[in-house]
Amino acid sequence: MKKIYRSIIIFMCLILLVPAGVFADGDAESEFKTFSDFKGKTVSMLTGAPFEELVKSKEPGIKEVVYFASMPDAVLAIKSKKVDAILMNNAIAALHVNRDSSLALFPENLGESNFGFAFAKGDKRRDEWQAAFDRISKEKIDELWEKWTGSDTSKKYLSDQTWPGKNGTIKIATCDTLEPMCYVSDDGDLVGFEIELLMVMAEDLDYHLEIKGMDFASVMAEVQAGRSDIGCGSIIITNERRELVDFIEHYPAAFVLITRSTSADESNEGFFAGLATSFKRTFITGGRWQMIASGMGMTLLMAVMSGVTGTALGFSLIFLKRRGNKVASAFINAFNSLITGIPVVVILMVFYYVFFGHIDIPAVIVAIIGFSLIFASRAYGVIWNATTAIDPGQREAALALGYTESAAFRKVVLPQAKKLYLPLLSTQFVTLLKETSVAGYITVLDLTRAGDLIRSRTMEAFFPLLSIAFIYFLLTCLSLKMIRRIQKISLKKHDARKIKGVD
Amino acid sequence: MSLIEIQNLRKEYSDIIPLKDVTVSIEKGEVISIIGPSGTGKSTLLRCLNRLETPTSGSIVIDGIDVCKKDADLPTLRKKMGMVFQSFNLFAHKTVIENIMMPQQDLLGKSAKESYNEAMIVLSKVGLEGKARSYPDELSGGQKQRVAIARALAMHPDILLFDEPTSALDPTMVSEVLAVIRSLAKTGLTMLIVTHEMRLAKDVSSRILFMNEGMIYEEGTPEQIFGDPQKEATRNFIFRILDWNYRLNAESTDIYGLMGSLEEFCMRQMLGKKASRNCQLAVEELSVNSLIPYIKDHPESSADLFVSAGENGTNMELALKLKGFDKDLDSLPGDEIAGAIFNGITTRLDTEKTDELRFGIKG
Repeated sequence: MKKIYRSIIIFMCLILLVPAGVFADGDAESEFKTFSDFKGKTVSMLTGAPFEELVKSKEPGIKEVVYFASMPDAVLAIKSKKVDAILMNNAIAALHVNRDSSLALFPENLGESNFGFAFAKGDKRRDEWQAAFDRISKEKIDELWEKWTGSDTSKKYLSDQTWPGKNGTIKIATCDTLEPMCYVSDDGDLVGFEIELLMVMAEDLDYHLEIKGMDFASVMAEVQAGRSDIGCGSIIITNERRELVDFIEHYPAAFVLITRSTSADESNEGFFAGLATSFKRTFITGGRWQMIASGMGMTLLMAVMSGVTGTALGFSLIFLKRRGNKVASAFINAFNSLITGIPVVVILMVFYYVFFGHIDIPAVIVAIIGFSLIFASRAYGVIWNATTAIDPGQREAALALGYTESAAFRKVVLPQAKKLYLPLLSTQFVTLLKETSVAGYITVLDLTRAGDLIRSRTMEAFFPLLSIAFIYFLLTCLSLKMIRRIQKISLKKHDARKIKGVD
Repeated sequence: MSLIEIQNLRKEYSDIIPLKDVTVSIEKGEVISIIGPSGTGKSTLLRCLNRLETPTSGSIVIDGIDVCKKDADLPTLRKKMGMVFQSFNLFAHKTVIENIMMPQQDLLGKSAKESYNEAMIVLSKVGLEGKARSYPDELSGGQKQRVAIARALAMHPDILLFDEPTSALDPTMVSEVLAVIRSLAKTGLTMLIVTHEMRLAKDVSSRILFMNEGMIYEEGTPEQIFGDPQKEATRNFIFRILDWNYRLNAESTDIYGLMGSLEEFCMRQMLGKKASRNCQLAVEELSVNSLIPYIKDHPESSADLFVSAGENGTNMELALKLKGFDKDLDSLPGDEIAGAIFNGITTRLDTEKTDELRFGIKG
């Protein structure tokens, strides 16, 4: 146990080494004055928002354009000077700049359009919702805009869906890291300007809404795959996007650039005081530790369920293989090459959007199915190799005594292979535990995504990230420790002086 | 009808045909030794009997049941037929007693108590009650093989198959296993033994099958096969494998004749240079410094020297039968240097006979 404490202390020291400049505060004036200042600079945008052409049309000398999965990642990158600007819409950008004085808006717009709600191409329901939207007064819309973009946070909540909802439930896919348009409130609810707008329309049409948060890039896929009925997430309407989905235009939008402010490097807060504030903001404020705890629960749930079902499946593959059937063998080989040949995150997305594209099951179940299959393939390999290492003479001796092939395998080979495959299987499990962090790609709210959501709310990049790293580290250490203990018990040679059923 | 009827048995692999055409019947209670050069299908024949190998063609009928049929009930067949392997094959994760209890419980449906009692009985038959709670890796090779025999016995088989039971053993451990097999041979159990131990074959068998080139080349009683083999290949095999012996007594103390004959034996055995030298050196030191001087002083005494070697020139043994020697060999006259040389190249082996001394010679 001492070893673990030591590792934790080392890890803490690493966290403390994070530069104090991170917690800067000051005036908000952009580093850049004109488009030509971006020459040789790096601009970032969200995956799924491809506006490379737009940026380059303003300044062709831009060094490169990079993409991030979520707003917090992009903010993290600009603060740590990995990138120099973030292309965003006016609503989101304004809020970030107001919250964080190390950021500033570039004074010029890159273009104007409208925000839209996305429907699958040709979906008749769009017209029904368009009509509902048209019935909302201009004043009401402006009032909502004021409410969500304003500074009075006490008003920023949504009432429950108290209307009857006779016409059924509509599924909304939304990016949940885009305050003020759509984000997770301190109470853990999905709220924001777009969400409230949808609520108003839903009440008018007497539908209930079921809202699912995810990364920006997943929203369009969700709608196109028919998994959700309406997509939102401060989607700015462009001609390209019009080819993929149909829109309801709901509010004017503009493309702007977030940059660092001129005072970004100055720090006016003591380092440890900053740390304490960060800790408070990340864990305490609004009970955010609950989000972390439930994310941790989700991560453990996925890892344990997939570990257990995967191991069981792995054993089934072993027994299938032992049948000696050629078709079964070919199937197993194909299965293994597929699983090893495709990245985990791609496997998950194929499962979610293709195989289960039109089946209504929760993303976490799809994740467990995917990870189980991945783990099954690995468990199979590990166990099979272990069994082949057992002296074949013992199997023959069992057969010669009158055991059937499968009994000989179960009674003689497998028990001895155990001490070979258990240690390998447990390191595979720890790998799996860490790999579940990609489940966010298919909208599962695991530990990593809980961290993303908190980052999107605190507008603080480093502390939540390091906290999440630390929690993963703890989880893997502890689970390894636990597995080792279980292993020790199950591998212990039983006391030779005791004979079962005799002494 | 015989207990085992084998008709035109043939086993082919893609590159080799270990069994060409074997026809033989074996009666209940027979002890059969199967001998012959390496690679002539002895083990394959044994493994076909309990269907660890599937014959290519031919038939094996055991107790009226054709075991080569596709739907043959192999587990039931095998329960009636114990097998002892060259490499022991004890279950490494179980203690000795569990090795013997587990098959009884799993396959014969006995209770733990019953199978424990049975296990202790068979363990006492092989002299290893004291090792009941040891794990296989805590036993010597000879002990492992005796446990393997006990495990087979506990199933009360009708037939017991031995597949080169002593070939993987150190020379010092061969005799303990042979002693167990010898005692079993007297119990009336039907046994088939594939072996290179000619003395075992000679002593315990009711019939010997000499196999050569995938066929039973010659068969007969031990007296026929060892005393008067009819065919050329049998003769070559038997005489090559038989011991060298020489008698020293008052009339014959011809050390040069003795050494010449031994040298020729070593050559015929195709022993390696070192093995051959050690063998001759051991005999020479013993004879020149101890035996011949004693016999010269005591004309009524005599000494029989035996040298035997395994088929491939290993496991060499020197045996000594002394008559009229009233002193132990250790106290025989002879100088220290000779004694040191002799002890350096030999190891004393256990023996059951009181008038015999046995030594292993280092190869």
